[in-house]
Amino acid sequence: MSLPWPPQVLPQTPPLAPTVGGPLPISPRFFRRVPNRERVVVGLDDDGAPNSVRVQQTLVLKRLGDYVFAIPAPVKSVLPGPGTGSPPGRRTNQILWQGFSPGIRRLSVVADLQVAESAPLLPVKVHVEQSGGRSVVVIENVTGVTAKSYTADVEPVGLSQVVGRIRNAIRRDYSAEGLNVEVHGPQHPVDVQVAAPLRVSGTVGSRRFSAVLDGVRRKEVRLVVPGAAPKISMRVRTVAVPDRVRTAQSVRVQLANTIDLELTYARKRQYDQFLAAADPTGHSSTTYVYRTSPRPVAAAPLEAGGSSDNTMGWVALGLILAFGLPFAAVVWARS
Amino acid sequence: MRRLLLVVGLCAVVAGCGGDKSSDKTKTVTIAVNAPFSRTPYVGQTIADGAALAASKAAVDVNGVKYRFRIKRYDTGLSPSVAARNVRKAIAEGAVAIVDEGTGVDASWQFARDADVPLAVTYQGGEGLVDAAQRPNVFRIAPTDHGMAFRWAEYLIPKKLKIALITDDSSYGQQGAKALAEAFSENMDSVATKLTVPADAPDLSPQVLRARRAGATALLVWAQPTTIASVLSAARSSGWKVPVYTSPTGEDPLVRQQLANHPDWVDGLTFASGRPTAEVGAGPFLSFQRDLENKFGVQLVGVRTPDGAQVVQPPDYAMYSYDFVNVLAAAIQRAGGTADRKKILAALDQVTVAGANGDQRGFNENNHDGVVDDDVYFAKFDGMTYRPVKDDPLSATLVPIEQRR
Repeated sequence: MSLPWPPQVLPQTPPLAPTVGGPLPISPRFFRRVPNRERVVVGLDDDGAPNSVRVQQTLVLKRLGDYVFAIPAPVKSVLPGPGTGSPPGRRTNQILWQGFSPGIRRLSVVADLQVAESAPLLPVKVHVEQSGGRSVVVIENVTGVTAKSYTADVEPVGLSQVVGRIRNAIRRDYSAEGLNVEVHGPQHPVDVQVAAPLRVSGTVGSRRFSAVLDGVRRKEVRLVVPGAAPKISMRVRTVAVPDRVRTAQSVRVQLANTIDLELTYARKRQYDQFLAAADPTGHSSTTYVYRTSPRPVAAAPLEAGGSSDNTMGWVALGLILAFGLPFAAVVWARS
Repeated sequence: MRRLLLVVGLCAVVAGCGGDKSSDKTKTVTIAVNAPFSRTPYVGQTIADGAALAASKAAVDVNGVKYRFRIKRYDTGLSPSVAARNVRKAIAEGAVAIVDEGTGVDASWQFARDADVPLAVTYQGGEGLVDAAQRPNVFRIAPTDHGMAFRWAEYLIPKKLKIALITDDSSYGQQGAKALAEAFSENMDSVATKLTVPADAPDLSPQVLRARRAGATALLVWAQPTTIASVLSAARSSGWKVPVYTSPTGEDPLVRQQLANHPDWVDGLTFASGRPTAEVGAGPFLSFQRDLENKFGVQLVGVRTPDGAQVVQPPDYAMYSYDFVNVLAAAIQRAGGTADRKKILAALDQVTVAGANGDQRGFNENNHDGVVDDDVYFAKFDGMTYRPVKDDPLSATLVPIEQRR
């Protein structure tokens, strides 16, 4: 019997997974053991609502050969990132990479994302309320979800092996695999709360703060600062997953804590990839930076050209020519 | 009554114009190939053959309507004004796309843009030719000059050579001169001299002598095939065994044909080009080559190896026009037919096909170049055939293509 399988019991996102125009005709190549590092910069309005999301993603290919893959992302623009070995391509909801790695190749992209599609998947929500001459800033870990799980009596030796695999995966920063236990007797379904533990730190106005929000026991931090519309600047990163499995515990409690460890680690890994990594099972890290900043100004639309203004006129002229000319010609021919 | 019949007849003729002769269930669309068939026949022929092979195999089915493709050739004679005129004519004759060698594109792309017709360059790599933002209807499947020049710099600078950069005064040569100047601008210590030579000069001995006197220990020639042959001829006839590196025109059969009486002069000539095979191996390219030979025959170079075998030219540039026609067919499929040309242009940014060499081939919204700069490789001649060099990481991974028959 497998422990609850994260892709089945947790939401599929993050990483971002917008609808794309279709898969590449050939399987992506060169996507094993590709470290992934991301920096997500979120622009905030004065009330804490995101007004822009920009990601810098850096991938390092460490072998000789061709590479071709696409990263799904709701992109507005795609630009080469610092030190990139080749420029990224862009399609609807995709960042494209294709080329040849001469042994080591760094690929870096800076992408502006559609806020409506990307902001709901950020790990933290910020809310600013005015109260008298003060502002209350609420920073909330929103990674929490309810997942389907179970309780049961399981074979303890097998369970300890599974715990070892999960701890090994955490140590090496890879996805945990092979998590099967032998169940004795009936299973009882239960719902469990799972969240990615986060450290949030930075400044609100002139006040510095740092807190760990595990998303289950502690979901938010409230900061009260003087004045209206305080400037916010903070960093958010996932932190180590708490391991509560102890051999002295009963097997049922050990199983519950093992499942908690497994699912919390899986949820943490989801937020370590805001954009999907080329190697989803490999090493990834993401830093989220939230800053109060002015709303980006959209480029003014181009003025409509004269041709489109005259569309109806051209249609009318076409109709006159289509019907009038043959008629006139026949009249002329009979004259 | 006569006048009535005349009018009815004219109306029928007018009604018949502007569309392809197709039944309700089958539409035939025309792709124009605009290339210098008369001046550089190898280039023109290889572009047209690649396009024609893809056209004969591509089949698009949209809601029960089958689209078939046919190729119509237009000769530019390497004249920009003729090339631009050809594009206007092809559009007037209903072409759905232009496959172009590159001459005259600076003028012709606007005619194509006004008609929402994609224009794909499949030979020249000039930097200004393609710009996804400024020239949204222009695409290219061919190595870029920028990519080749930087690959040359990356390959040659570590060899500690003093390089004479020789370009001719053709538009091809001048585009190359720009790309080389940019690529070597950070390492001028590696450049002995820069020379522009006349494209049609029968003898380049004085210019080659100037390069030698400037202390050059290598020649990097970016020019028409005849210029490359003349440079080789001038250097070797004076006993100068300087290594010669060239643009892709170095593999043009014309170079070997002109030097057929001195095959040893060609030995060591190294050129840059887009790689004909990918990591998947030579299988896809050989299969493409076989199909091309079955349809159009073997392309003999007209020279022999030292042991007397006939030499054939691998169809590396034919694969680019072949790939473009396939990308176009995929775009027409995605756009739901040929009625809305703007939709076809937009779809060209979104589709990918398996290329003739096994690579993925397609464009995107940022970049209308279908050959990435990484894919430039180097090959060296020995006995009138060439094989990838071993001292470059990409080239060393490629398998040689058999050129003996």
